[in-house]
Amino acid sequence: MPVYLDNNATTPVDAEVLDAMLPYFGGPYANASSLHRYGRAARDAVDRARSQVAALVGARAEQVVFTSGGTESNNLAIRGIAERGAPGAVLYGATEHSAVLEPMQALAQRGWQVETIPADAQGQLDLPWAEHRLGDGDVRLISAMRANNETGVISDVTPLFAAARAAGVTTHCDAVQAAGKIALDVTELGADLVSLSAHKIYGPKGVGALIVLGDTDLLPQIVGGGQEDGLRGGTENVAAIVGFGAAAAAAKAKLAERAEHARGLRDPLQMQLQAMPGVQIFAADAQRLPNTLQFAMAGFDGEALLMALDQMAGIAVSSGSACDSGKGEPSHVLLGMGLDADTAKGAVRVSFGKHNTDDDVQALLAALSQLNPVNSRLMRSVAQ
Amino acid sequence: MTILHDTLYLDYAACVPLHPDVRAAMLPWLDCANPSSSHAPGRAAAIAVEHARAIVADWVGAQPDEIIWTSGATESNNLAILGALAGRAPAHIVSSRIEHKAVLDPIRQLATQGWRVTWLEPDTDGVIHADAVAAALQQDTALVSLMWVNNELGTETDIPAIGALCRANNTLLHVDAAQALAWLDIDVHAAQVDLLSIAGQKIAGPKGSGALFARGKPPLRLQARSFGGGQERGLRPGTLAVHQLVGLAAAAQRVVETRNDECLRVATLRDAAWAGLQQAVPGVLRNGAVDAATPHVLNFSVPGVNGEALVYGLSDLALSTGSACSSASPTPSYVLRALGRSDALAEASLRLSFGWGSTAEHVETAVARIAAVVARLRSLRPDNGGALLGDASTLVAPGNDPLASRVQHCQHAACAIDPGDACGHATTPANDAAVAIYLRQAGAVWQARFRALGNPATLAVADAVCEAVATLDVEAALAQSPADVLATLGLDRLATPAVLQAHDALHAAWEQAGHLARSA
Repeated sequence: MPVYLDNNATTPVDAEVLDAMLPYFGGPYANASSLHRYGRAARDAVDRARSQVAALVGARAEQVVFTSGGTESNNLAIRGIAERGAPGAVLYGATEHSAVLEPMQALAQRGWQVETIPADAQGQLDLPWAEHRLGDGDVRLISAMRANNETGVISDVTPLFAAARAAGVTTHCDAVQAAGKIALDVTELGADLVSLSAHKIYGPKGVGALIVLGDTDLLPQIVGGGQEDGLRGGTENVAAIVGFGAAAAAAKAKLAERAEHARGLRDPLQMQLQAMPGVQIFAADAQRLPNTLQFAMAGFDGEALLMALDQMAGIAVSSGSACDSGKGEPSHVLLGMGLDADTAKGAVRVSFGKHNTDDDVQALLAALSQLNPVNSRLMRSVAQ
Repeated sequence: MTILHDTLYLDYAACVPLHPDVRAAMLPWLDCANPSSSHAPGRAAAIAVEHARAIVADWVGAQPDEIIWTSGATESNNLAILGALAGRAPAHIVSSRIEHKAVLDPIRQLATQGWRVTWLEPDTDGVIHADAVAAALQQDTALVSLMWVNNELGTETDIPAIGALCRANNTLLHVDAAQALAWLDIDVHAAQVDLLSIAGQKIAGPKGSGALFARGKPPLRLQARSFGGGQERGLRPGTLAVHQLVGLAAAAQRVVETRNDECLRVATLRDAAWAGLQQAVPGVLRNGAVDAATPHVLNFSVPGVNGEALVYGLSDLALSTGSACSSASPTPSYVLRALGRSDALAEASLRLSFGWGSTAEHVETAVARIAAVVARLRSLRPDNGGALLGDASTLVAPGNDPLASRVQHCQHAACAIDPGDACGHATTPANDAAVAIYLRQAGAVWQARFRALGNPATLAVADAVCEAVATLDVEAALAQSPADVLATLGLDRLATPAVLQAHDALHAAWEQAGHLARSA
């Protein structure tokens, strides 16, 4: 039985989520745009899920736009704003996910001034820099994540969003990793647009949402059919949306329980790792998601350690973002926090989920001590 | 297949319910890892994704690296049209008036950016001919986008002939094949198609699954529409929904295995339905070509009835009055208008569509229900000497419809109209459903009565307006917004025309009453 410690990459669909989805996987449920009873039943299910997703983040149901996932939500937010007006400047945090970074960079080819907000070694954004930059008056959009997928760092983005709002700048927050792991209220957050994804919170892959607050005017990116209030064309993926709703409801109800469970695994692991020679924990002093731990082990490339754990012990961890895996590049998140490329290349991420147990932690620790070249050398010296 | 609220499902062109075999193939993959992950569970997911890709590619005669996963045909159409033309100087596009909105809307977007568009008209059978494409092609035509099978009519386009024309003109051909893939044996390379949109939900696969075939050789300059983690070679980033893709492939495999038999079986059902309707519904008109059509769609118009009344009367049948995506819009089907049907006939048109769960018994039931409702609505027409109001209990099919209780408890229905009443008439644009509101002065109190031609939405709305006159006053009743009236009655916006109609009639009666009062 493999030990799955990669819950920031994706989570398995929860049993109660699956139960909610099953009727829409086999029953006579129809196109939610159809006006007959089957269509209305599908519409009702979609609307119920919309309320559940809204409730997870303190939004109103009508503020939820369903998409095919977090990447589409981020693209809709960024391109949807950018394509509504003439090029100006956009800012994003140095540690953003590639689904924010890439659409931002794509704007550069269209004449936009694209700049990153610097981050410190603990992953926190440079607020004075951003406030100063806002003063130039040419910034149209700021995107900053609530919690980082690799380090787990929780950013205090509210002051940044407040400053942007005061300057009349639209704000986007990628909350894909934060939702369901820490309490999240879009009103307190203060962003105009918030991205969510189902498969990070035990919902199905292939569904996400963009929360659109206030009168934020977006240019739709997928057109035809007028669904989602004209913001996202295409027949609603009813089963997936229902699953997202159920996952959101469970995440809200069990937020504290799940966080406590994850912390109960992560914190002891961190203590053990800190005692291990040659191990470096990233952003150890920052406020982080309770389930996430990123570290490097001296003498190991992150990707090599990942493969060793996978093949030797059947333990699934990540060397960074799943989206960036296999590319052999050092994590841009760690580079953005000022780490050098060699250190960054060593990064391995462990992210716990509700299925993990202390046995999983012990299995990982055992495998790491066996692999740790420092230990091997020690063992050899003892043997001699 | 189960029946919801005794409602018979006849809307396979809008959505084919997920087949149990497909569902069984999908379920094990709901728990899988992220296929972008390097570890063993991630690689297992990636292998499933690539296995599915090979099946879907083979199904349409493509190579696996020519298949890009998407969230459905709408996204595929957007990526094909906007992605293939991105970065090019505006030139010329050929498409048709009967395309799905997921093709019309991206092309309209390009039109606002300086692209010239030739919108082809279908012939009176709903077919877009290769000759018309040949005539429309210009030297700088960059893209032809046409559907292989029309979603409202089931009519086929001769794509291979058009493919040859486009190749010779150095023009890209995009084909929305969502409606075709369950019924036709498609080979994209033989047909010289450059871009083909595929939808899982139209082949008994899952909603939210789709693919775009994009020709590999010579390579297309397809540009991504979204950016992120580099999945699908950067053309369509985002974590792949493994269970959805496995489901799409399982559905494709099922199509390959059962297509020949299903085509025959479903064509038999459709022909039986048409034979039955011709017999039971005098004057019924078939829409779309009979010979060049896939077996799953039967579209027809019913003269002499109000379309809205027909839809409400048939609320125990799940069918379509046009594309499901446009059915929430109050305007009649643009496809049917393009065929030359009047607004009234287009409104009074039904699309029955069949698929894996359809049976001969379903067809019999549907034909009998349609015949009964049409006969009743026709009997209510004044030119047939019928009662204008009709029997409320038979106007609305049983169910939870808020309309049913309202119609059954109509308080203000007309029985005897005093010649001294002030009367206001209003009709729908189609002029085959009318409401008449009568105002009578008794002291300071105005009474309102109405007549309507069997349309339950109109009945309910007129009754509500009359009630408002009795409890408020005429001015206050007129001040009620259509949205308020719809909300009070629990009706959807499909009934908006009925509200406007009742208000028009009340206005007219109010003006006439003012005139009568002055002359008295």
